[in-house]
Amino acid sequence: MPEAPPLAKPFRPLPVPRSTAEPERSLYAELHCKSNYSFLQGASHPDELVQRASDLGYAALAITDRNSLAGVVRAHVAAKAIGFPLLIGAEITPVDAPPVVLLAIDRAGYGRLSTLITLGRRHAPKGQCHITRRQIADHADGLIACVVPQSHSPDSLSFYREAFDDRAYLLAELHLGPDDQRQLAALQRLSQSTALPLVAANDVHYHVATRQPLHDVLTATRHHCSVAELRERRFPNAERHLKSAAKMAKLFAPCPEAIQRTREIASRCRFSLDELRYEYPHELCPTGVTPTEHLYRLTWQGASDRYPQGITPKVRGLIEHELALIAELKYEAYFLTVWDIVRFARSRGILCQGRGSAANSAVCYCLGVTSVDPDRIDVLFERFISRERGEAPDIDVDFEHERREEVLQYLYEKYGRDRAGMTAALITYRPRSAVRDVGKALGFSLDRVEKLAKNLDHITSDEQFAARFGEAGVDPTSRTGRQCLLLTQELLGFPRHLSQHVGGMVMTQGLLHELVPIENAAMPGRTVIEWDKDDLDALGLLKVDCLCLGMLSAIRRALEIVNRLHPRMTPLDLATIPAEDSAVYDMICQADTVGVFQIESRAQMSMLPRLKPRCFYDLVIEVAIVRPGPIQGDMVHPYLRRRRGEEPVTFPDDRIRSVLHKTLGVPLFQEQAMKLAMVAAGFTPGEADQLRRAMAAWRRKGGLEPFRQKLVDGMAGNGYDTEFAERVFKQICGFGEYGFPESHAASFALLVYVSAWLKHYHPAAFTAALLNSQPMGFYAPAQLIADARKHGVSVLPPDVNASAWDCTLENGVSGEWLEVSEKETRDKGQVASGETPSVAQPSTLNSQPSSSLRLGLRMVAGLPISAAEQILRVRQHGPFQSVDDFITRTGLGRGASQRLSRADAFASLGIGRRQALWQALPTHEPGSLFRNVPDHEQPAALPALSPAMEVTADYRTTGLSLRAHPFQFLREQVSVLGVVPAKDLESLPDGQRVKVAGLVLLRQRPGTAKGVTFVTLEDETGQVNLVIWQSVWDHHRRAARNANALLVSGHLQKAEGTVHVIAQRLQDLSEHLVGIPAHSRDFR
Amino acid sequence: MQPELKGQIVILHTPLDSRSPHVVLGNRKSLRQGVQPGMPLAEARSLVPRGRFLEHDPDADRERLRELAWECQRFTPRAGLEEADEPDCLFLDVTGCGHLFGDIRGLCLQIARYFRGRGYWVKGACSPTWGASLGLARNTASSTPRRDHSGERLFEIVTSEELSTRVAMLPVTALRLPVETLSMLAECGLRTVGQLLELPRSSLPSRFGTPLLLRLDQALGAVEELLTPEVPPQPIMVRQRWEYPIHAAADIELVLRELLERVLLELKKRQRVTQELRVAWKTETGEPEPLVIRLLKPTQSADKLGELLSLRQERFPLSGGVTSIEMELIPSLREAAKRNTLFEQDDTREAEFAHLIERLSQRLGEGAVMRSRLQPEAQPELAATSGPWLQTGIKTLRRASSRKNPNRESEPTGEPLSQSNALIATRPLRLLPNPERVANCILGSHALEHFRWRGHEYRVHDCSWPERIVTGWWRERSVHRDYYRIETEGGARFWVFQDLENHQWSLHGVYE
Repeated sequence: MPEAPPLAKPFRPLPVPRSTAEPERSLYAELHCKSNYSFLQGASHPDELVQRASDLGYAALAITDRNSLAGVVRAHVAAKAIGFPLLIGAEITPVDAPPVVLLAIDRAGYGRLSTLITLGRRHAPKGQCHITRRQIADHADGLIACVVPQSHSPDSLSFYREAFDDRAYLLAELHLGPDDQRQLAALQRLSQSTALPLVAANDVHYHVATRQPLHDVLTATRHHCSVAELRERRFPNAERHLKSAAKMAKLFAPCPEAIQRTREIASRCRFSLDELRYEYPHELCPTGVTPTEHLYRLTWQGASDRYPQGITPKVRGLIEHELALIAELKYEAYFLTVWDIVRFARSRGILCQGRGSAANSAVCYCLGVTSVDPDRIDVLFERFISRERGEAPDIDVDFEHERREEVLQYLYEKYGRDRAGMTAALITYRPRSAVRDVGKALGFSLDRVEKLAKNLDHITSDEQFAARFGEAGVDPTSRTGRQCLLLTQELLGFPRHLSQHVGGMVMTQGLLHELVPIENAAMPGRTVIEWDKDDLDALGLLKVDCLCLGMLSAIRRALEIVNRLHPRMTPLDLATIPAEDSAVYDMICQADTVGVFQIESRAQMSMLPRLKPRCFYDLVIEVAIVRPGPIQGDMVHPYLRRRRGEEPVTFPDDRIRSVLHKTLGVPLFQEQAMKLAMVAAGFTPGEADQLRRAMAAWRRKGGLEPFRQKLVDGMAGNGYDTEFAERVFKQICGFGEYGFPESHAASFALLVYVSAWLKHYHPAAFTAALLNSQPMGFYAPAQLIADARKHGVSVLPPDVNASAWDCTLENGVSGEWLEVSEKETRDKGQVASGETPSVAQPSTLNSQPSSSLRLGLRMVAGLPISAAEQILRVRQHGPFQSVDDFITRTGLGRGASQRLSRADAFASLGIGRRQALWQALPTHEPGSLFRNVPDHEQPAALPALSPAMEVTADYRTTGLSLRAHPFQFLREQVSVLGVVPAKDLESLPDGQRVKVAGLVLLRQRPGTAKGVTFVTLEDETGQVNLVIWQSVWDHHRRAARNANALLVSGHLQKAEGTVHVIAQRLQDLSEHLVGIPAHSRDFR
Repeated sequence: MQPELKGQIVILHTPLDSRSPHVVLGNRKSLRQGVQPGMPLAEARSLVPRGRFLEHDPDADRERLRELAWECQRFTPRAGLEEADEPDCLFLDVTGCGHLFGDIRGLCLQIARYFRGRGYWVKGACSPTWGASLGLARNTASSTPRRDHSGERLFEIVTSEELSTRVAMLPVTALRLPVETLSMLAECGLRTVGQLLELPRSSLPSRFGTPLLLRLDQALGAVEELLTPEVPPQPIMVRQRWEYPIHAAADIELVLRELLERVLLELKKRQRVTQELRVAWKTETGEPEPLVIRLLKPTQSADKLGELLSLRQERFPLSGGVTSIEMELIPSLREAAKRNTLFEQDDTREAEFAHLIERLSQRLGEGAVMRSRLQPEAQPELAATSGPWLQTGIKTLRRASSRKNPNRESEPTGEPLSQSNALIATRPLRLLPNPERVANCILGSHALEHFRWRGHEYRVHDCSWPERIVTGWWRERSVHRDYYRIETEGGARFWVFQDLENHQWSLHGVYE
């Protein structure tokens, strides 16, 4: 479960135009200005700089971040909103010459600047840039160079002069230093001797002088010290802010032409980011076919495949409408790109599914991007394709988590690194990181800083800040406390560094690095552009999100096994799994959903018996309803009440009925909130989309306020009372970041259904697939296996003579086993398929449908896959006879054989784990003369393991035990204390005082639950759900937070088929279970 | 030694800037709260929010243990540290010491009482081998104040006859083995030394490594183990007493020379140098302040020390007759420098200069020889500091030699050096200790046209551009000033500033 990130994304309001109506701009333009995208150097947001420059009546402002164009889009958006002239450039710091500010004159020049930065960044480790003056000279066309004089070396100045000709200038920057007069005179002389015209600038680091303290903090952070220790590394005054033109003119009074030249340069730069025309890759269409024709052909072809019985009029209408809209907005290439990716994945057997309303369109269904029939749900195509804003649609495609990299590398390969890159993700300051850096800069002890940072968890409002400071022992009214508080708040939302987006890929027709600089990611083999998804959105650039999803891996594996075991006419896949099977829904209603996608969490499980899903759309609601969003908006209960008929289903009028009828009058999906705004308050689709974006960021300083007025007014205009309008607004706020779009829920619901179907009909195959896809999902292998056994699957332990790497299904009689390791089918080049004993004949297995689940060697902790492959290779020549035989034949080091002995994988040879370990222990000198001579040592008389110790050892080596539940050995002890086994709780009355005990499986504290912690215990009979109130938690903090096993007294709470124990006292039982490693999944 | 921590939950942890800070050790109170060694620090904090978290300093631990070993010389001349990366045990060789305390039992009781009296918890054991003693000590319950009367139970005493049976009873963890070996033994179900001894000896090394046999043999006495005793560094002290007081300065000087030669002889024998010499007197009238001579550069030279001594003598002639002189030389930790360079480095000038400072400081008093240093601070009052040369000199030396430097002073990278030289050129030679308010200010085309300072009226003839200094927001008071260099019509040059907050003018320095 994602935790609610406080003060989520920096949603920065757009600047307001200058109040005075005077059209004339002043004489001055600032040409050297860093934003906070020069990380830890600039101390103002780009929009703040633009706003301030506009307020001061500047002729223009250049954003020139250090070796970067990361901040220009934000500045561009801000400048565009108020019609302010913005120059695009960067401060380039070559390794062998003074720094130079490069400004783009035209599109070609911009492309060269971007290429230059790409060159420097690709050549250096992440975050750094290595540029030489030679490279600058090679990219000089279309750029203006303003040289920042440092140590006066006339040689490099004349170099710039030659490279840039009449486009080279010398910057004069005066900051009221010790001797400005002399410095200016020296610069004038230098300008004359080098023939570089002098131009005034101010090396701006922040928009107003009051940002000086924050800038000092950033500088201190950069130097890893406190502000007091900065000394000469900080600027001695606050003059590096945007100054009024009059002040600048006064500073440069002896040299007025330096001021005039700023405007001259500004007028030479004609480039605007609006000129960046995005071109979709062309190669997706066969030659001679336009993208429109190609998409038409593919769509209708797909449609006839999808609907062999004929296309329904509704679907036909949908396809026609969508194709027309796509053609109108020229998004064919985008859909073709997604189609191409999906096609590639299919060809490699990688399971994938699209998400998002554009993905859930009829066109995407026909293209095979999704498997959700548009007939089944009502999609709102406008959400991602907005007529008004010319913005690219957004389709997310989920791939199997282990194989997404193949897809990414395919894209890099297909388009080349010149044309494809990963979207950046901007890492910004959050309360904890901000207070950490500010605290350190103010010289707080590390101890105090840690305490402060810890206390700033889950902050949702500014008022909470001061209170939390107090709790951490920092008086927010003292001078330092106040400074720390204010600086922390100021620092919030500042960009800290660029990281890579989880899966956004950008592809272009032309060279990508002429569009935006590309740099190395921390991960090898990845390259990342400097812009994040908001920047791309703002410029209308195409991006496809390639995400990864563990469940897809598991489903693909399970389908493979099932298709092999039960060959049928058309192999099963996402779209052909029998739909609406009531037996599957019966299972879901009983919350028997361990391992099932999404609805396996405890919150979902407790909702299932109440919601009782009976059809696909119920699953869509189930997926969306258990989310922080709807809960916060106080909407879950109304829906349940209405569903059970406890509350009448009413609608204010028919317009609202049309929006909310599917969810019984309760808005549950993001689309409904938007549609409501459109239908009831008269929003245009574009405005509704803005509302959606604002919803995502409303926590940050009233981004929703303007919409509130508009919504309430609009609804009043349509005859709704204000009270109702306010309620709708409150609900919209409640969605926050988590309001789940119906279109995503629908894609997920399909996976829910498919996984539930597999679990119901093929539990062994499903469990094997889940185990082979670990880590994923909510439960550890031990719980998955326990659940499978509960469903009658027999499970066999990992064994050197029977297991493959993956978990497999084994024919119980012959001991032959069925190979499901796709690793080997994929790597056929390495292991010739004929050699592997693993490919059993499906026909022989088919006759014996009852097969058991053999755990694979992957369950053996620490065993590398290469060792497993070696074992399989050797084993074809006959099973292993002894540990010595195993060591001699496999040639594996003692690490592997020890791990296998510890995991009791030699048990089928009659050798217990201790004996096996003893035999595996001696080091065999490589190349020793006696290496192949069997060692006839007497078996050592080692003490035997007790059953409890065997179970403990099982847990330690494979994370589970097939022998017994560790708690079984404690049962006698605890039942003396009156502890009730989990399975008996069902039969006890509500409110009964009980004692329960078990291993801690998970601890969860949802951000919305007011400090309540949910803990699940497991004993040998089942699971117990605990509710722990904050006070109880605090009182028993140690046991509650850390224990592996707990003894809990409390009382029973039973409601609607769910059983909870409200804890009152907790006792740590860990010491009775020494050796069982903690497997609980805490706070995820 | 922090008495204020008594009674609190104290946890020692690895440095916070390490990759993953974790708990090294906690006191009993913290263990009771569930804190365990090796636990991530964040987790420990969540368990004991009120705990005191201190950084673990293994070097300090070792130092302290060494000091304890020195103290143990009251029980035996041979006391040393366990040989380990982070030792936590003392070895006392008590062979033949028992009878001094009654018997060996009495000795053990004394040792336990001594440490308990000093606020330590002790665990101990006494046996014929170091290995067995260590294993036994670590496997006995620690002493608690309550068990004061049954001292025998604190220290188990094992004779050579009992040795092998007692060692066999020990758990394998008592054998000083690496963690990996221990966990391997545990997995094979081998818990006691006895179980290990029953297995064929030849089967052990290939499975558990050779240290296992070594440790077994050490515990049983088959292999001898050596102890390196810790001996405290002794100050070199000589003393001269007279039955009748001596008065003549020449006599005293002669005695001092002789004493100095004796201490220096010892110093050379130890191959050390010194930076501090103390002389304590007894006279007929009492005990005057001892005389302390500190040096910038460590030395062995009798001439140099003698000269400094007599310079100092001159300043404080003794009144009355001297009955005793005690001279103490503290050997510095550094060894006498050995010249290994091929060519002699010419640092005579530096040495001479240091000697000059030392002589001046003896002659005039340490507080009279000051040294000022430039600080790279924007605020002029803070841009220079001064202090006694000898003290600051020695302090910086010490800091450079100490292991860790918390201030992490990295190289200045902000402003180029040339600029800071240019900066000094703009500063007045004489800065007033405090800026002085000027009166009768008249503003004009120059920032300041006319003013009065210390009763004189000045008319400004020329004035520089302003230099703005805005700094110190993190201090008690921040500073917002515009500085000007002005020249008066009389030719005097001053450094004045206007406070940007209250617009008052002040004079801060005089160019001469």
